[in-house]
Amino acid sequence: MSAAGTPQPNSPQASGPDSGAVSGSQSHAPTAPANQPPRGNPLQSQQPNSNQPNHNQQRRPGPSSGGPNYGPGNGPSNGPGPGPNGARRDGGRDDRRDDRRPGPPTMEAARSRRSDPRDLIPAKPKPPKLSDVPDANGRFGKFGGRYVPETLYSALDQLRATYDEVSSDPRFWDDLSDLLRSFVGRSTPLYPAQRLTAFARSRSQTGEAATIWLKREDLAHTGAHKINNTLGQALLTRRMGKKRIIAETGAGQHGVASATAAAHFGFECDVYMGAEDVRRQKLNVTRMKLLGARVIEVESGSKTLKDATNEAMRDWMGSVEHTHYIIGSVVGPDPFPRIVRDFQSIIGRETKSQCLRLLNGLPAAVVACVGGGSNAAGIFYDFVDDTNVQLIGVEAGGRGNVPGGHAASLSAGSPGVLHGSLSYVLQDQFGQTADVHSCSAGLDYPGVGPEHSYWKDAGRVRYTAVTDDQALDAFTLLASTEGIIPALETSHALAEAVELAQKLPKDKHIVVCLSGRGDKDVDEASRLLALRSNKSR
Amino acid sequence: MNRVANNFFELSALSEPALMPFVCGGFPRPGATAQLLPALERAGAKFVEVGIPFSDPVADGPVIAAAMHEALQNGATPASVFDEVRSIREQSRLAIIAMVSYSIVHRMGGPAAFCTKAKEAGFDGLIVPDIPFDESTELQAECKKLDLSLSLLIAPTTLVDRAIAIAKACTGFVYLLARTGITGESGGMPEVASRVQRLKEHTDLPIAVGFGISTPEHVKAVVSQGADAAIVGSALVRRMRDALANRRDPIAEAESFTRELSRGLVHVG
Repeated sequence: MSAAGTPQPNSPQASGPDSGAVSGSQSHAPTAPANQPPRGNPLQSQQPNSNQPNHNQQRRPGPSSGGPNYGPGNGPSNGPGPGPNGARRDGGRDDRRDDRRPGPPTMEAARSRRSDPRDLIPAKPKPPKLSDVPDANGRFGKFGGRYVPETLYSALDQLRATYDEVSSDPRFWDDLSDLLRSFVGRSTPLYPAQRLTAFARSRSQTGEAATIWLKREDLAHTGAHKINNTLGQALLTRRMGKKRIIAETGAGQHGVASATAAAHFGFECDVYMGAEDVRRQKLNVTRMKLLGARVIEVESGSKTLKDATNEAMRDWMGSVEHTHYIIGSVVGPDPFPRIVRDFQSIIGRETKSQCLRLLNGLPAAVVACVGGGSNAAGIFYDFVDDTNVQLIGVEAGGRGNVPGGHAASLSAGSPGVLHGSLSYVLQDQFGQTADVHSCSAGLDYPGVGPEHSYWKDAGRVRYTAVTDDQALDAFTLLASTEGIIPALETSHALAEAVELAQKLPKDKHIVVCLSGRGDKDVDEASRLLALRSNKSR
Repeated sequence: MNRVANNFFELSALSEPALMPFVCGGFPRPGATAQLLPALERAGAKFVEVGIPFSDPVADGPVIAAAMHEALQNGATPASVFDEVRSIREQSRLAIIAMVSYSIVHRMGGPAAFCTKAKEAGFDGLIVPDIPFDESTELQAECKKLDLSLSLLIAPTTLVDRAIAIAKACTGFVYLLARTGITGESGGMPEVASRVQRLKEHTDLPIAVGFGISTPEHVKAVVSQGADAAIVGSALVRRMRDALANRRDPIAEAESFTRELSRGLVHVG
């Protein structure tokens, strides 16, 4: 997506003083250097003190904080920022309105032209970056591709053509931006979890720990990041003239987000969900039905996400001419991994601009859970080229490293083809998909998005695994220390973040993608916690 | 001459269309495939598709998917299916075609390694339902090198120019899908005449039609619409399963159903 030659609007608004709800004293806070160079190098050049919090700025952001551009573009938004002399062009006023800048690069360029003549200066061609994927064949390095029956091929071509077309259509990104703001409630806050941090400090051998920040995707409408993608794909569906959508779901969050988008746009919606997941994520089944979707219980195989995905693909084989399949993660055949990543990359763009504003620099690490990998891809993507930021993907370690006991495709799998793309898969020597397990329905999947495989092999992202028990501990820990009940999926990332924080000095910052809220999990978590306390008795 | 090409050549000399039964390797029990293949040959089949069981066959409907899952549960592997085929190879004139997911091909070392093993086991050709034409260059080259036929799929949703390009990349025969959707029995009559005709303007290869072909009437319909072969999978697998449930011999059932289906092979030409 980061086409060469994209004019890079300079000075992200986030590098200016906090433009969140609180202004007042804030506008006197020291500002980041004016005339920041374009994305790619500014952050490195700031590196020596990039993790130094500015105490005037390190405040709890209001609900309107953050909020950079919404489209898949790489460039920072052209929202208000320091002017040429370090003065804010907008006089320090709330940046909400101007924040909704969409856009793939081309769009970015169009916007920039309208608002800032300096952006007319063409950027120099840049060397290839890790973020410059996939290629024209949908490959992330050797991963990705399009391994589907011929029946689906023309629909994938149509989707790719439609997506390429909207990439340069400002109206599309304006529509999406409006929805994300007024319907989803973006931008989501970046919140300093002070009591969780204090807990990490109390556990740390050095008595120190990095500050843990939570990117609050749980506050997005429907309670998880999944809505970012379903609204984008629903807009694509409308553009393709299709009237029905189908989706697979594990935890039910993607199902709910799809049903929500369908209700909003007036589409028919069928959601495939494994019978085991219907049991353990009952709340979301009820929500989907209320939203007018049909929930189709899948009884085949392990009755979880993989089997739901199989059934959704089978449906699509027969309905492809009038139905769009909204894949919920960065998986599947090209162009899905790219599209879903782009729609989710709003998470990382907001996070980055919030960090620049609140921390006056980039965080030391960004941590996210990985099942298929959409929230992780979404928050990582904008940091991939900032190699001084550690990126950590946390997979489901389940009951530990026994066959069938976990769902850690990247940590324990091998390259294979599942659900349309080449990526790390848990499989046997003949390519049969292995059984997997996780307490969290959203991570209970034997594959992973091809871009994660690419990042793993490139050494850019470290992938690790957290067990069911550790995730359950983090689930209760966040609830009791911060008053936030996280999803069990997210709890995996939190568990890793608490460990990682203890290894870092206190002037460092870790951002965790709080991908979803845990209301759906309270019954299942209570059951698992009761089981555990019975066992230990 | 490759057996696929040879058997089609012999039939075309007689202006006779072919029936291509599909069986799931290792189903309904280990060792069944080695018995089934001679039985289908006795029933008059010149070609058989053997599905290599896969855990996640997204192009297959419930009947074949369930057969594959059962075969896997009973311990079937690509290697065991290869062994069964190898055990009857000497005594059979059947053209035996492996229907295999690319997931398996990739995991077993990629096209070169997989094709070598398949050839060595006695297969004469491959159908890989989940590799699109654009990803199949290496597979085409390996099949050509080893004289295995490679039949790529053409769907009703495939645009004309692309269909022609796919047909030209096939060897042995072209696999034309009778309808969108997954494998499975179907009530409606297949409608393929115009697509078969258009393809025949661009390829001399025989055209086999599959998906939803489940009765002698369906077989008759597709061959009288110009197809050179009719592929029957789910209906045959279901007959075998029903026979098992009624304590009858599934192998004998497959043989008699294949004879029944062959009644649809009206003489053309």
